[in-house]
Amino acid sequence: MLTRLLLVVEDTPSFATTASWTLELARALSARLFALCTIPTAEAEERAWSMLYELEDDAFAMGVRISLLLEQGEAMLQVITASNDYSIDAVIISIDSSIQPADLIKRSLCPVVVVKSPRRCNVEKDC
Amino acid sequence: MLRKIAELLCREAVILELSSRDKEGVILELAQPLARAGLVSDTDGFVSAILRRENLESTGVGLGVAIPHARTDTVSTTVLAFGRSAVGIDFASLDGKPSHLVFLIAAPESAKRDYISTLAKVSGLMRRGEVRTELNRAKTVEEVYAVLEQNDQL
Repeated sequence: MLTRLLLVVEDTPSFATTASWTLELARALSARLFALCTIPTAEAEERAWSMLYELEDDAFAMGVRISLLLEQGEAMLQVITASNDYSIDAVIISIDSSIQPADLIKRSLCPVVVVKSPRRCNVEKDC
Repeated sequence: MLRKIAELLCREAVILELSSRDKEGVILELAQPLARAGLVSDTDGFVSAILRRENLESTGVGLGVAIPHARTDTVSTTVLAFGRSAVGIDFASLDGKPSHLVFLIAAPESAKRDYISTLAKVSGLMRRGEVRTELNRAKTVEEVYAVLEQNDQL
């Protein structure tokens, strides 16, 4: 049962899609969402909080329970640590995350979901 | 343009020693002076809005700090109250520690950008250990303002 989800919050082009998808999933599963943003230096803090509170506002509107986490340091390490500390059932990251999905899958103690932005299929080109 | 924290803070709603011992009481204790100052039109509605959010998620951000907040049309502008508790209040923080510094933030429904920016600014400021220490040590309302003014760089 997936009751505790960890969303990796990053300022990437795909993040909005990942966030929407994750909120829908959390609502459907009645799961508690932990949103983790890792910053390299304190200078990035205000932007990080803004992203977290934007997400929190959307979660509140959808009735999703959310906890905000802001950490400084190496992103992969913080994700692994938070997964352990908060008994996370699944980690969710964007396809364009700064964390290499393959590396996270190898190191994570729980399942990892990589969210890919939807795009239109060009049948002639793609298939 | 985003105003500084000290400009948003209601002087009447700076309480150096909160008398309440639970989060519901603290939220009401901070809401009442905002209402008396004419910044909240409906105290019950205001408190309900804050508690609705509080019931869904903990606004205890850890490090001895809680930032209860909500968007509500019981205020017409972004408002901020501050309270301090020596014994600490249980805001169900993730780190399990009681909150000694409480910032109550509210903004109108339409002021999402201002609201998010204010939350981000206060959260960022409260992660700084020296700011928390100075706020805990402040002996007067003026000293609280001085700490915020000195550390809040736009």
